[in-house]
Amino acid sequence: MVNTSHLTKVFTDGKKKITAVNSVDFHAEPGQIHALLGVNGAGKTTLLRMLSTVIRPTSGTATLNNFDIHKNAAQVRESIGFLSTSTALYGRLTGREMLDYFGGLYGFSGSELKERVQAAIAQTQAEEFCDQLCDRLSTGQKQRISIARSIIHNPPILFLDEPTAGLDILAAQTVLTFIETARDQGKTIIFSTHIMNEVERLAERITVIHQGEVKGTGTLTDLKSTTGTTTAEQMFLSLISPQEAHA
Amino acid sequence: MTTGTGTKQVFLKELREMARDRRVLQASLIMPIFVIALFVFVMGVVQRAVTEKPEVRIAIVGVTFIDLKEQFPDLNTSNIDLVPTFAEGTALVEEKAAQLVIETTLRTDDDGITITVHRVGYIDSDPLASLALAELKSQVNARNLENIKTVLQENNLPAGLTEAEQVQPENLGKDEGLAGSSIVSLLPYLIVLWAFYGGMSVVADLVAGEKERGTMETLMVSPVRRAAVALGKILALMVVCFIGSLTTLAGVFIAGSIKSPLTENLFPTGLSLGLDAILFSIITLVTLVAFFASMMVSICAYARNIREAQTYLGLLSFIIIMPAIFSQIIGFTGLERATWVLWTPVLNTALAIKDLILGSATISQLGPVWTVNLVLASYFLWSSIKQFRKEEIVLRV
Repeated sequence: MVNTSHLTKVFTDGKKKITAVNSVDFHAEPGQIHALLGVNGAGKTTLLRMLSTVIRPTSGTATLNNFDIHKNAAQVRESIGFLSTSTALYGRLTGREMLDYFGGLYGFSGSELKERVQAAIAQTQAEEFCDQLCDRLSTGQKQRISIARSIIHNPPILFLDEPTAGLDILAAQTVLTFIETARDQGKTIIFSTHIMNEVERLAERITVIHQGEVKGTGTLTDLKSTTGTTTAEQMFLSLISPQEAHA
Repeated sequence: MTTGTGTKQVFLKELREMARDRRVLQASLIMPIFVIALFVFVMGVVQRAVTEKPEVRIAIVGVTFIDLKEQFPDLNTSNIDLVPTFAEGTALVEEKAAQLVIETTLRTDDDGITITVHRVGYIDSDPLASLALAELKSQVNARNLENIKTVLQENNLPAGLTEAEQVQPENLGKDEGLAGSSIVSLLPYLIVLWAFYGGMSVVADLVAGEKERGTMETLMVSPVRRAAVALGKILALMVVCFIGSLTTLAGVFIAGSIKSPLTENLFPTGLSLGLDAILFSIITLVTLVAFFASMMVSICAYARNIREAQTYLGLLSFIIIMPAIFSQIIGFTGLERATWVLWTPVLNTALAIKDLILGSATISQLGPVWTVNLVLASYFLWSSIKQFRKEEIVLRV
């Protein structure tokens, strides 16, 4: 599970201070898809980066799988799989070599590593192209290898940062199906998006973030009810800019 | 995960990727061998031209070919132009149609002896003119000596008096194998240079490229230690730098092994190198590439993309080249053994490699070289790890 408590990140640009994430609290359970909904620049990626221990929070804390992001960074990283469209592959490695590499970085070796790699390839149906150089793969095939890379260590928590941005409909479908399968396997899934269809299809719980602050959190039904709206889009607009939603 | 395990994973992955990168093969293998081989042949051409007395044209003022043959019986008259005045000869020299203009006059000194004076016009910056002038002086000196011998003999004095004092030079250098080659002083400069340029061609892609492509974040999310990532990349780059410098030697050996009239005089004592010279050169090179690789990784970890990294590396290359070039001319200054030279990075390494090839390196010379390189390598390793531990490694793109 994932718990955050007053998680805050302030960036300094010369004398200017920019609060990217301001005292964010939310909670995500195993077997649950939790959507972080927000426009570009809302603070979703910064939040996920803090949770994955890539950057340090200015204040506040979070626990993932009962590991504290400050005290147990290594265990936190072992507990998460991270996927986004901006995370690329190594073009001069084959898909299998890429998985071998990351499997090794997660501490697997020998027959265990081979089994893990084979399982990830099978799970993402990448058998046909996993021995080709990543540079020669199509966008959809690359995304499958990326998914296989993110689950090579069978993490209990998955962070998906706008995982379908820039993908065609078929490649996006692969990702969405993967998210549903992972949820069914009991993983805690936090995915950031600004695509309402994905939210309506997948999210059990939603946290709306705008300008670094949580504007609302709950199920889609709860949030619609609270805002007095009927669609996810209206609910979102209502929370981030009440005037636009009612215009 | 231990740092060692992560380092091995990163190191092997980087080597595998680089082995498949054409730029690495071109910059670290093919180019050094090709450039050095070409360079050796060019040096061979130059040396052959110098040793075989290149043809020079001489303008001589106001004499006939018959007079000329009497004065300079060894002269090849086909390379001589007869001109009526010194000014006309000067014009030929200025046009590079001749290297020397010679006007011969006679005068009588205070003792009543007739002295033949050769007024010689030449352009100092023309190397052929300097060679021709030196040859002319040598011929005149030889004739003066012959005249003195004749006078001594006419007065019943021994002709050997003209050589009563002699210089007997003995080369104490260990001119065996590669040490006997005239290109030995240039070799360390090239080895040092390719150790840097071999790595420079790939390091931007190795570190800043990961940021640009978005693979750095994936790597940082994994449990591998940041120190292991930095160390793995530095070790992989060291291999490329090392190969780059060794291929310089390979180029020399390939060019020298080809039986060509152009290169035969460049390696009069063969191409061999002593085992201790090889061993100590390898140790010296390893310390140098450790310094280069860690410095380049540190700089590229700071850069936000490949282009920015290449800009920094371009500027850095000038700092590396300067002491390397100085190593070529320092022998004329007498500063080779100065303390500050021993502790100056790059310069000290180039000189140490030269002395190792010549068989004159000492541990008191190599000690400071290894110390300087290892201290700098350690500093830049620390700096690289620091860069990788900063948030900017992901954010500064």
